[in-house]
Amino acid sequence: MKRNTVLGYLLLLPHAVFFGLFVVFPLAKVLVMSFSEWGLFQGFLKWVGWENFGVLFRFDGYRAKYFWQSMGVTASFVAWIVPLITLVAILLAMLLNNPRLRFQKFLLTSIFLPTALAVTVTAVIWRWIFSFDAGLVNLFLSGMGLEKIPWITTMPWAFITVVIATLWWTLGWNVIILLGGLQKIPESLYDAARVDGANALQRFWNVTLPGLRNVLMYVVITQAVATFGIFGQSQLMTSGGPGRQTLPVMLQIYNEAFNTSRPRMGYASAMSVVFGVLVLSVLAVQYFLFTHERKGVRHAA
Amino acid sequence: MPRKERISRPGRRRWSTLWVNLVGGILVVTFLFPIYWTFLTSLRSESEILKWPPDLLPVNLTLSNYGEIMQRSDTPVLRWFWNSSIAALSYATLSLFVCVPAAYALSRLQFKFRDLYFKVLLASLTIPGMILFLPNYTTVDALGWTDSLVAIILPGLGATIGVFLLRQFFIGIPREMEEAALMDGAGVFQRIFRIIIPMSREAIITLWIMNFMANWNDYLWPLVTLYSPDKRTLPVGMSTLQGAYVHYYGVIMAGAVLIALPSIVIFLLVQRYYVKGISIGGGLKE
Repeated sequence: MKRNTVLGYLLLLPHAVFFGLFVVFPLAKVLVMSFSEWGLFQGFLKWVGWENFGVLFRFDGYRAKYFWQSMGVTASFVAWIVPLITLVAILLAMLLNNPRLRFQKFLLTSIFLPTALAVTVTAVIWRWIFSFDAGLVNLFLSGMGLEKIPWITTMPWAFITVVIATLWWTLGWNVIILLGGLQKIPESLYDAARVDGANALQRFWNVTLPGLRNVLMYVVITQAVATFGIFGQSQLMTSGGPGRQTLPVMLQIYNEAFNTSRPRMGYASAMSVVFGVLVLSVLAVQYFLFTHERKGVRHAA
Repeated sequence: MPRKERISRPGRRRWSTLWVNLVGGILVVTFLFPIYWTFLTSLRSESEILKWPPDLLPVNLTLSNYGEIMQRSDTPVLRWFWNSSIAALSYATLSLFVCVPAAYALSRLQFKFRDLYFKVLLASLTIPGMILFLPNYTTVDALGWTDSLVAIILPGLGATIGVFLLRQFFIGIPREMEEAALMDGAGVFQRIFRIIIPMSREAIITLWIMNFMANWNDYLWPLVTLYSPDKRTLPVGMSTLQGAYVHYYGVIMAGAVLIALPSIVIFLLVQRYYVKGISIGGGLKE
């Protein structure tokens, strides 16, 4: 086929302009910002060398403490939400894939509907349901003669309510992907397993899970990416409280860069660089684990 | 043994049918109830809201909370609705204008550095969004785009996922279709408009809807780039509302309903495409 060099570049150009300006350029810019003092409105002020990063690793200072504490909060959200959502999504997808279910489409729509809502709406709904004075959960607790629980303002409840809201909000996404994966597993594999006398649990372990491997990798990695960036639920439901115990990194970065009386863009950029590099390494490890294990299986087979 | 099996099996099946549908029913209630309850709260007066026991059925309803929101000048919900609509429509449409040509070039044309550029785009998918957040804010600010809808329409056009999705579809379109048009002397734009776009209509609609919803529901980015009350989008406006009516749950819920209703309606109308878009995302990695 003949070459169309000029035409090719011309067609790529509109996307390339935005890709260059808002995806490639910021990679360089964030490094410049993290090595400088950067005003919210003034822009570049002066170079400060490793100072911004130094603050993050000077563990006796309160700013390092706040940063690593927020890293810990984000890590706990990831550690709870990703496995929980994956597990529940697998169970729901299997239920939806069960031919005995009479209202499959209606159930799918119900599970999927919350994903269409903005995070603000999700946060407001769950704040209301878990509110101390008049929230539905507490109304029922006191109606049954039990003591009301300050869900939003005490631990571990604040953490749990954010997890519940996130689960409700984003489960549908993962269920759809896993359901698509389940439907691609040939029925003949299950029949063969049955002939071999495998019970339901063994069939799940030896047929369903291996069949879902690629899809599971996608779900776990995209869910991890989304959860590492957790921001709105905490900001809107708990404001990071009580104390800083539900305050994730993105909220910490946002607070440093925009909210304080003296915004610290350079310092916040250093945080996002450290955080971004750590996230990337975790995802790389996840990817390695999924693909590496598969090679092992292939060798065995 | 065989006899026992014949007797027990239909019974077991009926039981498991019952269980499957019971669990399914509970799940439907679990997922829909918060939305129902929000809607109900929005239609109740404050005294009604704090009442024990709460009415779980739609009785004693009023529209006063909606009236309250519409009246106040610091919560211009209709204005927010307008802003959200313009931004999401523009973003979803412009995104097609940048992604379709790029995907066409990458799937159909031969030119120098094509595969290298494709690999660069592919590698960019691994960049965590949090790294881009602050530098992009300062860029948008330097361009003078802050506090205007341009700030939430243009930067997202650099996203690469749409290019991949469309490229995948374009590759599947038989080349013969285009070659026939080429014989008729059709130029590249005619080929894109007459053959490629109609042949991949589903993928294009799906991409448009995914982008529309993503832009409509976006929160952190519009939160930092738009600050005047009348420049906000609905999700950011909602957080203003929560601040303005701290303990007036009825009014806050009325706001939540006004914001959620368009998303829910759009979602129910186009759910088919939405599901397809997500499945394609899942399928990409296979």
